[in-house]
Amino acid sequence: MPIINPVSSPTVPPAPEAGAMVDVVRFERVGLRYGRGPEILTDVNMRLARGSFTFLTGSSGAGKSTLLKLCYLTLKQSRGLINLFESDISVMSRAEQQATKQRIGVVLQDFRLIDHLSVFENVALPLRVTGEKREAYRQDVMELLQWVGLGHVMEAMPQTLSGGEQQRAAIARAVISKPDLLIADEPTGNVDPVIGRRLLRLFSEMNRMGTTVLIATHDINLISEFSVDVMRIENGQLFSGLENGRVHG
Amino acid sequence: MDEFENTASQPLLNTAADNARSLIIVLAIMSFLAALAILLSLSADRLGKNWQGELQRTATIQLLVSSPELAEAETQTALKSLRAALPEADISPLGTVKSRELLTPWLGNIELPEDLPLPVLISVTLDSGDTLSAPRIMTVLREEGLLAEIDDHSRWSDQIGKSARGLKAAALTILALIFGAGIAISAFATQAALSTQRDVIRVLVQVGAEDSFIAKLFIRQAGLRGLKGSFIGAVLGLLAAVILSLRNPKDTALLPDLNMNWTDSFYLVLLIIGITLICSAAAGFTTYRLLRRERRRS
Ligand SMILES: Nc1ncnc2c1ncn2[C@@H]1O[C@H](COP(=O)(O)OP(=O)(O)OP(=O)(O)O)[C@@H](O)[C@H]1O
Ligand SMILES: [Mg+2]
Repeated sequence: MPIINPVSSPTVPPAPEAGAMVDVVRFERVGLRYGRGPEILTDVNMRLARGSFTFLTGSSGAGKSTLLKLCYLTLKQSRGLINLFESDISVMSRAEQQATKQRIGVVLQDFRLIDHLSVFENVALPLRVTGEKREAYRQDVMELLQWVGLGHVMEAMPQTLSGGEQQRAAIARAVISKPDLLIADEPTGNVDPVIGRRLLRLFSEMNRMGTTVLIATHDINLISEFSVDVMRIENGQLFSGLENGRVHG
Repeated sequence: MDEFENTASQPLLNTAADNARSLIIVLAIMSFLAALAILLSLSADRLGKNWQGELQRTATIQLLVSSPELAEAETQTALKSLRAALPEADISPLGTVKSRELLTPWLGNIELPEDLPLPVLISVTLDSGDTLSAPRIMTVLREEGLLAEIDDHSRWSDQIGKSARGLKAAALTILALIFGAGIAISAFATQAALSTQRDVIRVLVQVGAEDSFIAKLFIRQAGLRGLKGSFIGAVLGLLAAVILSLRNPKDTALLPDLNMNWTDSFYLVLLIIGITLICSAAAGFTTYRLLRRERRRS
């Protein structure tokens, strides 16, 4: 059950640019277990201020993907409070949830491209479900595909693309609607370093234009190149900083 | 970039994934049977009404003459008063030859004595519209002091009416069963479609599609399949009925003659609309239900 009286918890660990900023994501003492299994996440407190750029790390199986799922509304927390865009998700109606999802771009480890739709159609999907007219978004989609280096395979089917190309298509789909929150799970896992840099440049470009970014990754090298916030999951708990057990309150 | 002219959106549901053809065939067969039931019941109804109408417009009056000598005079009196009372009707004596003929089935081909006092038979046939009222005819004759019995064929007419109603009830039952099966089949097919399109739905939900957006996809798909199947079935049913009705009427002595009427096709259009709506509605309900169940699970 969500905790009542969620406002102004005294101990909210990583609070990037803490101040009067609006929180895009706020977790308060969130716990999660799958079914009757052990708690994967325990008492997680987290705040993502609007316009922040955060990396989430942790060893394999630590619960990075799980935490992201809570952020993009695919999983319900077992306890604690989660606010997205300042609204408690546990009291949202179905329509409100879907409207919230339209503000969140998601890139997953397995891409989730639709096999029978062309790359163009896959990328255009978030705009299509909001009822936007094709003429209105056609040019935008084509330009973005050029930008991520998929201009030549717009009409191809996803299975005919390489893993890296599929990943770029998935990223293009996540950013096409200029989401307020961008969540990516290992977005550079399948691409060479050059493309990886390029994708991250896309993310930071979006971040500069106001999108809040949360990226889960193993890639420490990648993290060290960017001077952004880092959070780490260890034993079901969330810490700030990269390593050495340094816990920032 | 401009040689890429994708102006039409690709369908979101994978049309190749689920077995649409067998669903359409099943719907076509059901609609074929429904169309035949409709056409048969319509023509049985019409036929029954025709027979009934004919029977109700005719009656045979049996004049019980007081003595053979007075037969001729009493017959004339009866004819005159009947003609006065029913100016529109065709009223004529059947004559002795005809009367004898009518007795043959009961008495066999025996030689009847010439002086056997045969009853005088008078047939009454109304032109159209009105049905005969037996009591009224009896009153008219009684006022002239004549005794008569009247057969207004009401027994036959009632029986024909009863069997026509029976046929209609049977046809309606068949229709109801077919529509019920249509609902079940469409719900079943939508469930199958939902599970084959699971990945698509998952992505649509992820990018923020409303339930109604997803439901509309399945409603449109099921409706289109219902339309195709019922159209094919109704056309084949109509063809079959036309072929039946073109047969020599002698062959169909026991079956109701299929006398088709072009207005019957209106009911077939209703059938097509009905099946299409049923398929769409069942798909819509099923989709909403499964989406809701899915949500509760997560
Ligand atoms: N659907 C599920 N049902 C049950 N347990 C699950 C489920 N998904 C994940 N888990 C468990 O939760 C734990 C955390 O998984 P998660 O996928 O969040 O890890 P991760 O940090 O993303 O790992 P990786 O870096 O390998 O992607 C794992 O122990 C995993 O077995
Ligand atoms: Mg993971």
